[in-house]
Amino acid sequence: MNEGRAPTPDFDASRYERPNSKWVCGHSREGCPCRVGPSPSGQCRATTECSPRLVLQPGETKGTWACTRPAAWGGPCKTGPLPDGRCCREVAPCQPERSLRARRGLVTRAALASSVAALLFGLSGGNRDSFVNPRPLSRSHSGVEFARLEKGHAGGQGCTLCHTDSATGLAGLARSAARASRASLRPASLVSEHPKDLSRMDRSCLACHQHKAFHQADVAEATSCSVCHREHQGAGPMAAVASAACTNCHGDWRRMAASRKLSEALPAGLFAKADTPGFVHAAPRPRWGYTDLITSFAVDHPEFRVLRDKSPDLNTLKFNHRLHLSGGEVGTVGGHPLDCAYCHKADAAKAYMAPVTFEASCRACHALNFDPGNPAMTLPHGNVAFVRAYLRSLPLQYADFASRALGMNATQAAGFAREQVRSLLRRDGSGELLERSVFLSNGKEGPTPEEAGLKGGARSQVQGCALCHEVSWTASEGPKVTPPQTPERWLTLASFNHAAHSATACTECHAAAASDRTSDVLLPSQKTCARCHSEKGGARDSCTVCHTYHNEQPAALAKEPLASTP
Amino acid sequence: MSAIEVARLLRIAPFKDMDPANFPKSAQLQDILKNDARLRHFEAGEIIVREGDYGTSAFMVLSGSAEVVLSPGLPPRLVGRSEAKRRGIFRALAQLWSNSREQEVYRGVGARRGAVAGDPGSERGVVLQDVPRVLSGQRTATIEAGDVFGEIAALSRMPRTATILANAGGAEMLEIRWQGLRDLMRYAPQVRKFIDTIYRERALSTYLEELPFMRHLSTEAKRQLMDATQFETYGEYDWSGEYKQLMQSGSTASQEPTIAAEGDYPNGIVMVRAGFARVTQRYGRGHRTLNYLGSGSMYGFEEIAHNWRQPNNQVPLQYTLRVIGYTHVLVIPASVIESVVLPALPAALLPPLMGPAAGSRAPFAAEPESREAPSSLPPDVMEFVTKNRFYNGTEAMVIDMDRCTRCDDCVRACAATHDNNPRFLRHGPIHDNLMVAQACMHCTDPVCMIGCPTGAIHRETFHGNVVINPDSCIGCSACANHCPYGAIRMVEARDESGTIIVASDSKPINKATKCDLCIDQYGGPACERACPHDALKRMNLNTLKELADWIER
Amino acid sequence: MLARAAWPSAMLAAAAACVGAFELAEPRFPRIDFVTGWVLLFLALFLTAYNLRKKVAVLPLLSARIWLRVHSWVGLLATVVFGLHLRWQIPRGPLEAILAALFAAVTLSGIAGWWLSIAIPRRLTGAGGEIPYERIPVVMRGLRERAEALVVAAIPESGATTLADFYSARLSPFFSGPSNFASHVLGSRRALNGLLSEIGELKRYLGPVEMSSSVELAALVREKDTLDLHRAMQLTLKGWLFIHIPLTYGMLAFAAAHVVVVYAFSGGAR
Repeated sequence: MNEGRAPTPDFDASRYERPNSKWVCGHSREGCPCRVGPSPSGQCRATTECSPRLVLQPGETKGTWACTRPAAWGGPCKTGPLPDGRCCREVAPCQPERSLRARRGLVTRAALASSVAALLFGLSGGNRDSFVNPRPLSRSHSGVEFARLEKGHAGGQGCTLCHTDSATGLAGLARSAARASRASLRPASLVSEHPKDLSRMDRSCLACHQHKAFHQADVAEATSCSVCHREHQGAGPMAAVASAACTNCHGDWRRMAASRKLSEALPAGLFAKADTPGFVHAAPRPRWGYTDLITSFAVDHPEFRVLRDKSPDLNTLKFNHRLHLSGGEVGTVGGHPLDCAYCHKADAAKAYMAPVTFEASCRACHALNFDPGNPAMTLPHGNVAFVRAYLRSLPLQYADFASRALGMNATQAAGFAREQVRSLLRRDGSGELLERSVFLSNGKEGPTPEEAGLKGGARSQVQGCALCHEVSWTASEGPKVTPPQTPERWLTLASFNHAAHSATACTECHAAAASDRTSDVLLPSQKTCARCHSEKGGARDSCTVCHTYHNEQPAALAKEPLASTP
Repeated sequence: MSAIEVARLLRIAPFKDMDPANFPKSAQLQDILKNDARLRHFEAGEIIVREGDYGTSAFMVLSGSAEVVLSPGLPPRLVGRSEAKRRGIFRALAQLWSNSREQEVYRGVGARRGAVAGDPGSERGVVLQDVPRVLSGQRTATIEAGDVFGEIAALSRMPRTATILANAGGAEMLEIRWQGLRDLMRYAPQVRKFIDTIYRERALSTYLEELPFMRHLSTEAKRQLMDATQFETYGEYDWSGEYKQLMQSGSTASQEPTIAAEGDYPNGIVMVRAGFARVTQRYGRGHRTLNYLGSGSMYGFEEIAHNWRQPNNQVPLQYTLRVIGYTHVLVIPASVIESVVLPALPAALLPPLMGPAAGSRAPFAAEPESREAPSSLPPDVMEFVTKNRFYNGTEAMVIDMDRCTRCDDCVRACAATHDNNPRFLRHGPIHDNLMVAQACMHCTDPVCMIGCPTGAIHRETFHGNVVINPDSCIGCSACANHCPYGAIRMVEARDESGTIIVASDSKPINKATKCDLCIDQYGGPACERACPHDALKRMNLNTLKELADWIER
Repeated sequence: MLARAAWPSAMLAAAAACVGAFELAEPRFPRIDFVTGWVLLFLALFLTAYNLRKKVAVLPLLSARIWLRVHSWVGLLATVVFGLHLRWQIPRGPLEAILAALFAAVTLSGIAGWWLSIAIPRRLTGAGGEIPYERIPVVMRGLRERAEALVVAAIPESGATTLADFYSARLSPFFSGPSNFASHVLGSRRALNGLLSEIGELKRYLGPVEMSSSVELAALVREKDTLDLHRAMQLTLKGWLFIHIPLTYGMLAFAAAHVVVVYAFSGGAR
């Protein structure tokens, strides 16, 4: 490189370079731009290289034309002007070109115009719905079945069915947007922690999903459907409600405090839940509602209420799980040791356990025989009056037994009956005493001590009702058995599915083998659940696994007449 | 000036003593007076020249008297010294749409509304009230009829050194433009002698005060020093032609005249008063540039001090001082230094002794205070700056080509602020990655002003930026030819429709154009602000520090 | 060094602050997507304002140097906000997918341009032959005329047309206009070396007069090649803006439509 010199040879530094011009002379491509240059609007202004001047010498009348080409452009030319005074050197006209930057401006404008055109195409007419749709709708809100509901809409996804506000047409869109920006989407609400408001959109939801009781009466602030139910998350089933939707309130102490206040003020009747099927352990609703702070199941979900309150199992039926599961003489039936499933069988829905029945689970051992001499004679179960009637008609029962089971004829049977009744009366003294003995003996004390002295399986065969039942006796009314109440569900607010836990042994959750008392509630603790149902445990721990938000199932869609959207 | 006035002047001293025969035909005495001088009357208390202003004319008192404020000087506010008005914010913004769409549109005299310094109409006198109170506490001197002042600023293209007021009763002045003064000095020996005398009387003490050791001297010693000081001027006053020849022939440092040569006995210290001098040292078979010295710098003091302290270990001059362009120097003989200055200096202030390795050190920087910090610029960059004489520029446009994306945003910004016209060419000498673009550098010594017949190119009063008044520019291209840096370009003026305006002889009307440093714009030079890549900087190359700092940024 | 690291570290800190603020706010503010969206839109508008700043060079609106710095780093920051707004998922809807693609294209072209703006100037400086882009055709024409004059002058002096034939066959297209754009962009010297070696090959058929002309011709070929390099590089430096700026305005149009659609379809729900 030539030190200190303008590095490009033949560089004409006598004129400015004008990168700011929008147009350049068409000849500049060949490297010889003209002197005048194009006009600002891009017209060629080529004329001649000079405008000759008429020189009149003193005394001359015609004069001569002189070239006036400036020195910067070569000075006066050799040829000189034409005789008529025109310049001899015409500048060839050109087609001026836009400068590189002006062309960039054109490209920019073209890009903007084509974007706007694409938007107009996309946002108008039939393309709009699919153009603006951020993601496909769920199965529930699209497809043929859904389209059937909206008669005016032929298949696909009718945006205005739910987005009633998004009036058709571009102007309508703009109007809706402007309206939203003033109302529900005003700037302050964007940074509000609780911007939810029942909106026009919710009315669209409720057009179908009517009669749906809301969560709890003490929800302090109204909540829009879409806060929890996110649509446009892709085809397939509607996305599950995220736990965050629940903890948004339940994890916020301010909101819970507001609910607590409301809870205490509102009449209790408002909180009555619709009946849930099955017999549920009755845990009274706390006065302040369910307002414990919960951010996730594993971290701060409270202990189940039964366990927290240490509520005893108030069932009057006496049962010793440990004894029955010990595998010893008591815990064996038909040569097999007893297990949980012997008594506890899933219900039809496979979710909960069906109630344990005497016939299916107890009678095999507790056969209700009252006469050691005739062990096949068994009392009826389930009704005090039937038992008393049975005992008072013992001769008939023995005769019937003799003729059916022993094959005696009527005379023999009558004799057999007399014999047996006499033997019983000899043992108990009187009919009434026999009756008392049957009802009140509990295996330890009572009017039939010899039976009480028996051991093992033998004892189980001869005992009174009071062995299991709570039995009282009044002179006026006679025996009275408190009906046993076995709750099928201990969780008042949550659901559970045993079938889903079939991979787990019963005793992993239920500590039955250690339970001696009837009052023991064998519900596993929240911690036990959280062992698996936590981030660490790997099982799902979202709120909706156990809880449902709404108190009723949505009304069947097709049965409901479609309400007109407001 | 009218013929009557010229005739009157020719009858009074000093003009009546001049020999018209000494003047050439092209510059007759009466023509000089007629074209380059005018009579001006100042009221009592009116400011004639202001300290710090740039002026291109000298004054001769015809009648009345004037008061020179010597020290400490009047506050600038008081004397009405203020920056030229910039455009208002709306007028600045209005350029977005009001700029011509055509290039080089010339709207004619008076059409430009911006306050252009140097406009004849903008000369408005400032009259100080209550002069005695203002001047109390000031040291002043009185100038009587027949005296001349303002010649230094006019001739050396430097700012005024003092404020001068008209005394009570007012004063009549003959204002002579520097072109006229130059001609008078050239053709009338008595004028030259006279100017030299008053220069010694007035200016010398001011200049010598800049020397670092002066404040240790007694008044008597100062007087001795002053008497012994000699003036010397090297090079052509108008050095651009000579420079262009040198560049074409491929100049080297060794061809430049020397002021003092390396290896010689130090005869005295040299103080650069105006212009620049190059400090070189022998290196191999050539000369290496170590630095250049600008106004106020001193040369040779260290050697003399060394010799005075160690008479048995005398050293010669370590460096050669060469003339680049036009250099005006003061020389103080070594004998005076040894007898007057050095004995008076405290030992701590004496320069260090010259060691055997002294030669490897570049002891000078252009500014006295940074003398101890040698320039960190690589020698090739120094050579580049010196050879192309860029040291002259106070606002040189330096572009780092390693960063420049050639986007021309600077040029566009320039055009946006100059009625759609770029005022520089983004092109120029390159060294390594440094380009000094062909934009006006606003030189310390603006040679472009030398040839201007109308004074259209002038220093703006406040900052001293060199600007062109298009109204008085006649398109002679003298300035463009003089500018050694190719920073001035002649353009053909056009009317608003884009037609090139032609004069009566059918030739296009030319105007000289160049960078005006966005003098009427907000925020300083638009080019620098417009550079997105930090590649373009307007910088003062009088000293190397700014460049060195910028290179190392 | 400290100052050089200031921008990247400030940008990293700002990005971390954005992500952190988003993580904190996300569970609390259900409409956080609107907030990130507006932030993103304002960032985009601010970034576009750099283009406008260049148009109003007359006002002292900070130096372009600072604008570019801020533009570059805020542009990178905007990609983080963009990711947050999209929740790092690729949108599916046509409108949003196009908008996101435009944003990505603008960002990527910006980063590419940033890199070009750093890399190319050094190449240009190293190549020498500095020339303003608009002047290239003029200089190119000058070179061609010199080359032609050289070749033509050699004919009568040497009495042979070997060099002239070679010129019209091989060099005339090279000199007549810009050439080898692609190879210059790719940094290849193959085209030049090919021509030079052809000239070298030719020398064995040349007389002394033509020989000296061929040496000058080779020098001209080198100069022309440097000029082509400048043209290619400077065109690249200007060319990436042909993508970056038009797409920016297209993106802004789509962003405006996106805002309107989102607001119109929000139904006020969330």
